[in-house]
Amino acid sequence: MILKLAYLNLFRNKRRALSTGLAICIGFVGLNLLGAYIYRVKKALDTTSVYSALHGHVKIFKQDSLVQFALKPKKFIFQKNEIDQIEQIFSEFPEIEYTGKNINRAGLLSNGKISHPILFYSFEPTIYARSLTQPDITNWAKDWVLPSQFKNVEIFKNNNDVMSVTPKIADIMSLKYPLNENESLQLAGRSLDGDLNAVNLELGAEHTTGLQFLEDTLVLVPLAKVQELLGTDGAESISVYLKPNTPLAEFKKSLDQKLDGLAFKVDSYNYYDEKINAVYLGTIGFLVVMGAFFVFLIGTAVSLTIVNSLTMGIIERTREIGTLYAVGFKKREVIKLFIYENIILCGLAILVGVVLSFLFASLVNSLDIRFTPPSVTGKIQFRLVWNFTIALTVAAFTLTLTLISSFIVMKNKSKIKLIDLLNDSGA
Amino acid sequence: MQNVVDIKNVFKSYQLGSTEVHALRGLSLQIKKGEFAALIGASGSGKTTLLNLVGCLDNADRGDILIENVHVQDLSEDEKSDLRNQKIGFIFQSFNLIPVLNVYENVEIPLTIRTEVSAEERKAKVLSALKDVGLEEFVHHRPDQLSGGQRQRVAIARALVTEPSLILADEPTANLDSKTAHHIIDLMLELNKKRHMTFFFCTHDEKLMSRVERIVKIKDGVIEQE
Amino acid sequence: MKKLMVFAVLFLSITSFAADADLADALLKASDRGRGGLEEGLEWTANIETTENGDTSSREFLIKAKKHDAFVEALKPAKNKGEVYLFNDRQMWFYKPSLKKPVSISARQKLTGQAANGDIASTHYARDYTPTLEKTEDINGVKHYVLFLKAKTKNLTYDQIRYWISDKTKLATKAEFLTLQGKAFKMGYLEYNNVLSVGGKNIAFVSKLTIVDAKFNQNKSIIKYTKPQLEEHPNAIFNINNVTR
Repeated sequence: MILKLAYLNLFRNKRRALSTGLAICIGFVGLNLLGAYIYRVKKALDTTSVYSALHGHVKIFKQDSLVQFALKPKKFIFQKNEIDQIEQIFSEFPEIEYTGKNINRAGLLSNGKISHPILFYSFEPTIYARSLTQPDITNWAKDWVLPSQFKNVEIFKNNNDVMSVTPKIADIMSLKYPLNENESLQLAGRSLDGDLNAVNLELGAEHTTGLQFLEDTLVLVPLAKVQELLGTDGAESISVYLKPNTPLAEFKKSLDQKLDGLAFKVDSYNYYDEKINAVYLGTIGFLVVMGAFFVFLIGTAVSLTIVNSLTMGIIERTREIGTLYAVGFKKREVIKLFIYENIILCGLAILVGVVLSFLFASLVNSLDIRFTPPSVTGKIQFRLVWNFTIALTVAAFTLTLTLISSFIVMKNKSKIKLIDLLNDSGA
Repeated sequence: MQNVVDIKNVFKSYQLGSTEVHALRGLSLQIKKGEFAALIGASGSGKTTLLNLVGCLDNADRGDILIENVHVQDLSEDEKSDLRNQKIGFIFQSFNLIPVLNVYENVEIPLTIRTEVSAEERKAKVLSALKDVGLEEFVHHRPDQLSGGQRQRVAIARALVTEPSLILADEPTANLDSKTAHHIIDLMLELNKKRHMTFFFCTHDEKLMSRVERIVKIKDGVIEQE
Repeated sequence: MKKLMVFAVLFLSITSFAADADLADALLKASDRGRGGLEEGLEWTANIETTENGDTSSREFLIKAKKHDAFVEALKPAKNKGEVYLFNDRQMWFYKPSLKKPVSISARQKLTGQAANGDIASTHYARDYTPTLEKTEDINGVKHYVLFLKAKTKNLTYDQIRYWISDKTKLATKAEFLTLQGKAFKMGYLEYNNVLSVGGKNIAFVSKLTIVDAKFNQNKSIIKYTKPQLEEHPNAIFNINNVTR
């Protein structure tokens, strides 16, 4: 009965209910879309970190290698027999889909006339191909990967000497397009023994780092070529790519336990670890701060609207509240009545909001709006990914907000003396 | 006969603007079960204050108020709510119906917060109360579709649906034309006779006074004469 | 009269500055001659022993120099044989037979251990640096001029050098290699036990250069110079286009 009365009361002042409902609805849609945006960016970051950046889900180094490898590569590189031992451990984990080896070093890229200092990241053509064809890449980060990168998959398969450059480096090295028509470049660098060495590299593939400050610095070189340059058959790190839906924390824990049994000490990192992926944390941190700011703004606006409309509702119905007290309603029952009213309103607003945000997200996505975020190269699609969990979380948040706002108003208003409620001549 | 209301030496004052009004000054009064008593007095004599105290809508400054031998002062707010719900029915001058609810629902309201009453029982009680006030044909009407007399009858039905020990009425006929007022008085008297309900109401209405078995006159916060 | 005195003092100090500058230039030119900075074509072998973080390694190069060009060929270890460093003035190239094109490199980069690429070929400090005479100092009873060398252009092997030149031999015996901020990061010690006959005259030629890390003095490279001789090299060997063919 209280519920029914609450529902009926909702339609007494239709305009106010509509405007309050609209405020809640817009708040919900706003938060939902914000959530959708952040969710999408996070997913894209996850995907590119794991697959495009070839970090894998978990990356294994020799202990302290992150700091020491550049200075003492000979000591901190995994030797072939050590890799074999680690791979032996991998074979005990069915949740591993595949693994890849990496070496990242600094060097000079030369075209016979000028040399340009670069960082080179190694890749194994088969692993690169496998990573770029992951469904997650297509789902989440298609626009974060150059279309030409997908072509690389074929190029790398066919020619083991082909490196990948960024458009910016192609410009610096005066390369012509198509890239494969250029003469080979030379990559010079220090071997593990400390001697200068250089290897020939064929052109033909292109990638983007997605980050302005790396765009003129980072090239991808086949692992075999890097090993030739360094005079080694080892690797600096090993990336572990997991099957979909593998719980990462549990996997890493049991992997670490097994790795502890090795004769040499290793460090393992999650793909989002600040130590190997500072950009990830930076971007997520920014999004969280931005998100929190908007949540605060929207939350305050919605909350104030509810407080206002509820206060108006109570003033209008003062005598009615008195009547309810007179026939035996208790304070909490009257509070319940008003809170129910707002919860119903909020629920309706959320229902409409779900539909609206879904439509809006579809509209935005179909418009294919592209933009360049700060410190990122290339255009990224402004894409909103509607997600049930986010909608549910936001709905719960909106409801809680409604509940708290209503409760605060009712707690204050119910302090009015009963007799004054009945004597009120209003409405 | 048993006292439904027993008021002993009650004082009540309240603030009206900057002046303190001593509404009740040591008033004592008993109302017996089955009585049909009218409270009369000039405006400002303390009528409404007394009625509010009896209805547990307000607290006395001093003195004792007993409803069916229960000390009202000792009750918590929730207990007073229960007392009002179970022992007292209210009829207001301006009916105080809930506009969004229909006749049936308005009458049903006091029963909805009673957990011990089953749905069927509740329905039977509501229909019986509506029958008593002659509105069984109007169950689905909303208050704004009814005349003033009909509305007050709904309010009476709401007051008696809980079968209270006492029905308090504050100027129940003041907003009605004289013909309708007579009908309402008839109805109240009939309920008093037929169902032995105790009525205590304040009024200015001469018509009403002439038909009442007991008239209590209040002046300057005390009972002046009976 | 007073005016004249001031004028005279001023004049004297200016001329003495000028004289100092001339002396510094002359000393630097003379010292370059002991490190291959000659007009004639030269050839010698350099053996570099490097000790770094407890590991020692050894490399050997054959250096053919003429004026501002140098052709440096790796002889040892065997895996590096055939690698070539070519200097054309300040431009420096690295090449090995498996490469399709030479790689332009910097004289500043490390060749091995504490030795920079630029340390291996003939020295032309008089061409590359502006010297100022800081002071004179006695080392083992021998008077030394201490020069402060400042790079004339960027991308030289070192930005700044403090250079000790013996008054007796007019050869550099000690060098402090400084960062742009003026902090010594490496020390160099030179010995001249080789003799080279130039135009009928015997001149001393560098036999050993020890380069020590300023912070970790167990990290060092010792370059031993042997078999120096005059040699007329055809200009073609210093042409990068010929090298790669």
